[in-house]
Amino acid sequence: MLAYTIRRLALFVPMIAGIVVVTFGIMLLLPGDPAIVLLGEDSSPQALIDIRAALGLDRPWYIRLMFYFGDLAQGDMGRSIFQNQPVADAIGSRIGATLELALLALLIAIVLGITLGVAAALWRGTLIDTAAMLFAQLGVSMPVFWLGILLMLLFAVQLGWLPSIGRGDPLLEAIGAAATGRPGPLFNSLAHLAMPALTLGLNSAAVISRLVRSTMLETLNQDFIRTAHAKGLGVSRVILVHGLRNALLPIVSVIGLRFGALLGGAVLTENIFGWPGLGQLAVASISQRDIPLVQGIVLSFALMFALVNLIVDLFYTVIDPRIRLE
Amino acid sequence: MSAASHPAADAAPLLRVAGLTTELALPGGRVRAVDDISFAIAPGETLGVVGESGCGKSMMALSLLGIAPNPPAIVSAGTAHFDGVDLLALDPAGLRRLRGNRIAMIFQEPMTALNPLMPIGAQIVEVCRRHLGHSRAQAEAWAVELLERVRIPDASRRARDYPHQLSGGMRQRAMIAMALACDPVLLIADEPTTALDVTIQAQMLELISDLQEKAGMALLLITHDLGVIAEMADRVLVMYAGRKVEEAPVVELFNLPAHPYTDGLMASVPKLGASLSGTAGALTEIPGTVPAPHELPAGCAFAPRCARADERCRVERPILRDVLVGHETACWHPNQSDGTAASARTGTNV
Repeated sequence: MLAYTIRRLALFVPMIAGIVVVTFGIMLLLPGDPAIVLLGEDSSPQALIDIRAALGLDRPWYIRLMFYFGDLAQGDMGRSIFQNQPVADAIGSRIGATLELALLALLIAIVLGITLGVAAALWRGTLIDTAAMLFAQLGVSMPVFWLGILLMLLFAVQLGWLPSIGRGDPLLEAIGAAATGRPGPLFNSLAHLAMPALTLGLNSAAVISRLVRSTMLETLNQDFIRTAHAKGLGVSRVILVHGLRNALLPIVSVIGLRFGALLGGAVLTENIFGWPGLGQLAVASISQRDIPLVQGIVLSFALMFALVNLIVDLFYTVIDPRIRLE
Repeated sequence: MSAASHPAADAAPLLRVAGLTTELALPGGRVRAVDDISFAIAPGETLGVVGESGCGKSMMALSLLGIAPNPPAIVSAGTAHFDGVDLLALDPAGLRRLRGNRIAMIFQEPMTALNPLMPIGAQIVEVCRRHLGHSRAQAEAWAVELLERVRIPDASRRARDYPHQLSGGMRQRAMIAMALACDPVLLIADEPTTALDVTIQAQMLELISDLQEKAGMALLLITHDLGVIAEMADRVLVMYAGRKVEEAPVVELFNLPAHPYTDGLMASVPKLGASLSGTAGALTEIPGTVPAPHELPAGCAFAPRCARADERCRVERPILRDVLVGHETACWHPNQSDGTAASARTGTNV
C-alpha cells in the first residue's frame, strides 16, 4: 500500500504540469491585458510597454511558461501582479477558510445524504420516501447562488438568527478555545459557517441521498441480507451492519468526486456570503488577469481534489477486504 | 437409503404444517406461490421436498420462517406448529428468537449468502452472541470449534478469512457451521449442493447427514435433484405449481410413484451407465412447462401436461388421498399400488 501511495503521489507531477499548461493556455486566450487593468484604459502607450516589460509580459508565451515551470520546480509560485505579495502567501492566508467551508459542507452532505437515502430506502413508497426524494430533486436542481440568497433572506433578514456575511473566528482555533473552556468563538464561528456550508452542501447531499437510496434498495435484496434475517438478528443490525456497510461502498468514491464539486461550488458560495477564501480570490484574480495568482489557485484546487481522492482510494482498502491496490 | 432406519416415524412431530398458503401480490393480482401445503417432520427425520424450480419450494421454507420477501409475499393461511407455538402466528420478535437458534437455514449460493465484508468467523460469532448470550471470546472460541466440526482445516486462521478468500465448498461449510451454531433441532436446507461442484456435492451431503445424526436434528431438504433425495431423505414431498401432489416414504416413492408428475420427474433423470449397458432408451421429458401461477387451470395443475388427464382432471381439483398407509397423492388417476400404471418404472430402484 505504501508503494501504491508513492506511485499515486508521483503521478501528481505530470498532473500538475498538465494543469499548468491548460490554465496558462486559457488565460492566454482570454481577452484583456493585465497592464491595462493595472494602469487604466487611458494610460500612455509607453507606460504600458514599460509595465509589460517589468512584469515579463513582453516575452513570448513559451518562454514565460518555461520560466514558470522552472520557478515551480523550486517551490516558487511567483508573485501576484495585483496583491503585491507572493502567490504562496496569498493562497496560504485564504486556503484555511475554503477548506473549513468545503469540509463542513462535505460533512453536511454525507450525514444528510446518507440519512435521507437510508430512510427513503427503508420506507420505500411511503410519504417518507416521497419527501426525501422531493428534497433530493430540489437540492439537485437549485443553483447555489439562488439557494444562498434564499437562506440569507430567511435566516439573516427575516429571522435575524445568523450573520449574513463574512467569516467568524477560524474554526480550528475556535475548537481549540472551546476545548479550554471558552465556547464563545466556536458559536461565533459556526454561526458564520452555517449558511454557507448548508448552501454548498445541500446539492451534494441531494446527489448522495439519491445514490444511497438506490444502492441500499439493491443491497437489501441481496442473499446475505436474507441470511442475516434467517440468523434471527435484530432488524437494526441487519440494516446497519449488513445492509448499510455494503450499500456505502459505491458511495465512498462518489463522496471523493463530490469534493471536486464542492470546491467549484465554493467559488460561488464564497462570493455570495463574502467568505474570505480561495474562491473569492479566484474570481478577483481572473477578472484582473492576474495570471500567476490564477495559476496558483487552480493548482491548489487540483491538489486538494487529487489528495482527497487518493485518501478515498486508500480508504477503500480498509472498508472493502476484496480490494487490493496494486 | 436411510428410509428403513429413520428414527421416529411415529413420534410426535417436531413441526406440523397445515394448509400453508403464500400469496404473491403482483401487479396483475394475487397469485398463490404456495397452495395449501401440509406436512409433518418428526424429530431427527429428513423430509425431502422436490419439484421443478419455481414450484414454490423455497417460498414455502421462507414462509415458515417469516422471511419470505414481503412485498410481494403474504402468508395468507395455514398453521405451522413447532414445539407448541404456531410459527405463522408468532410475532416478529418471537420468530427472530427462533430463527438461527432452534430452526436454522442454509441457502443455495454460499457466495452471495454470506456477507462479503465480514470474516466468516465474525458472521458465526454474531449468531452466538445473539442467541446464546456468549461473550465475544466465548463466541469466537465456539465459532472456531464449529468450523472444525464442518471440517474446515486450520479453522482458527480460516475464521478470519472473508468469503471471497474461500472456495465454494468451504463457503458452504462455513454456512453450515453458522447454521449449527445454536444446535438447532430443525435445519432447513434450500438446495444446499446445487451451486457446488459435483465432487463437492457428495462431501457436503455426507457432512450434513453426519452432523444431523450426531445432533439428532430434523432436516427439511429442498432440492430439485432426485439423486440427493434418494441419498438423504426418509420421506419425500413432491410439489408442483405450489401444490403438494404426492408424499411418500422415499423407497416407496421411487418404487411406486403414484402421481404422473412424479413418474415424469423420475423418467427425466439420466441413469449412470445405462447407455453403456444398453438398458436405456431416450430420456423422457414432461411435455410443456409449469403453468405460471396466474394461469393455473381450474382442476389439476398438472392436467395440461398429463397424458392421463380427462375432463374431470381439467375442471375438478384432485384432493389428497392415501394410496397406501403414509403414501398420499393428489390425482384422480394415480398409479395403482400394485404398480400397474407405473410398470415402466420398476427398473429404477434407488
